[in-house]
Amino acid sequence: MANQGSVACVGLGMTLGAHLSPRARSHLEHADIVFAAVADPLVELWLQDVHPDVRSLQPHYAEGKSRHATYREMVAAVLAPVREGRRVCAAFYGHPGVFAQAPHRIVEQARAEGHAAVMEPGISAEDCLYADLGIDPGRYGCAHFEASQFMLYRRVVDPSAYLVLWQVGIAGDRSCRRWSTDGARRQLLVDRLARDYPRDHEAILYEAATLAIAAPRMQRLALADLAAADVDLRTTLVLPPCRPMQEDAEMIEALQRLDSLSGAA
Amino acid sequence: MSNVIRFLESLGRDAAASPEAYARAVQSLDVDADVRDALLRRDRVALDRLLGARHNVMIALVPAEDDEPAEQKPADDDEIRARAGS
Repeated sequence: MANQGSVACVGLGMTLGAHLSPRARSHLEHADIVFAAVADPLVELWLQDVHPDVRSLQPHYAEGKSRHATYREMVAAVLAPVREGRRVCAAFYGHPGVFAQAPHRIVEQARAEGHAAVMEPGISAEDCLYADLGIDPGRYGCAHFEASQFMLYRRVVDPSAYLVLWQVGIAGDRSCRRWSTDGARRQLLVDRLARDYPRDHEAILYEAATLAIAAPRMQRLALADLAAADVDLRTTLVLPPCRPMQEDAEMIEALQRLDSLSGAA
Repeated sequence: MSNVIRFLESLGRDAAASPEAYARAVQSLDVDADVRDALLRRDRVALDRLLGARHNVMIALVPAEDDEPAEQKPADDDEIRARAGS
């Protein structure tokens, strides 16, 4: 194929210096062009030290502009040099495939057009959350939703598992144009959560540390106080379980019958 | 500028740095006094300003809904022609 290019969507991890995988670094160093969507502006400066041609994807955002358009533009910007046969690396903070639309679309579209495309995982904010808050998602289960999507659609909540809501700083934004939403929208989120949790249930506002000189934000508050809390786009809402897991007696009985048949009592 | 960024990167790699070692390392950096002060105070807002970092970084990478509302979608050629004829 003429002009076959390649693209690697890589994760930079969350904390500068701490999380970059060897493979992600290799993609960065061998690329002709690097595109960047980072969570910390100092990481963008670091990337400019690593590679001579770093093109920020930040200019595609604008307050009041639909992020659907932003993500389309990001995909187009990354694929343009790929179509010219260049070796491209698109570097995203955290994990490029976790709560990120453009990287998946870049890989899908590049492959559909016959170019080589890979996604390299990175350490996501979710991973940092488990480590910083001492949560094992396997202990009681853990469900993750984008906060506005959680509000817009009827989701089934299991309050005996962890619930994590991402992008709570723009909770309730249907327009996809806001960079923050107000307490009134967060109050609607509180009211929605109050169907499954007591209003005095302890919630956690979490932000991963992006520099080693900073500590993660781990603020505990009552669910009812979320509307008045200080949140922004870096903030994630964590709701620990509010009741014990409930046994499924019918299933347990069926398993016991199988155990008896196999002699594994 | 770049030696400060490299220093911050090296801190990320070093799990064993004590507060005292950090302070000594900052004192030994070849940086302007205000940058050194910001590092000692761990003031990343000041660091962003002093290092000329991009202001107001937007980090949302996922929309609430995969597709935007119909009224916001860019019209394709057929749709534009249909509207023009109506």
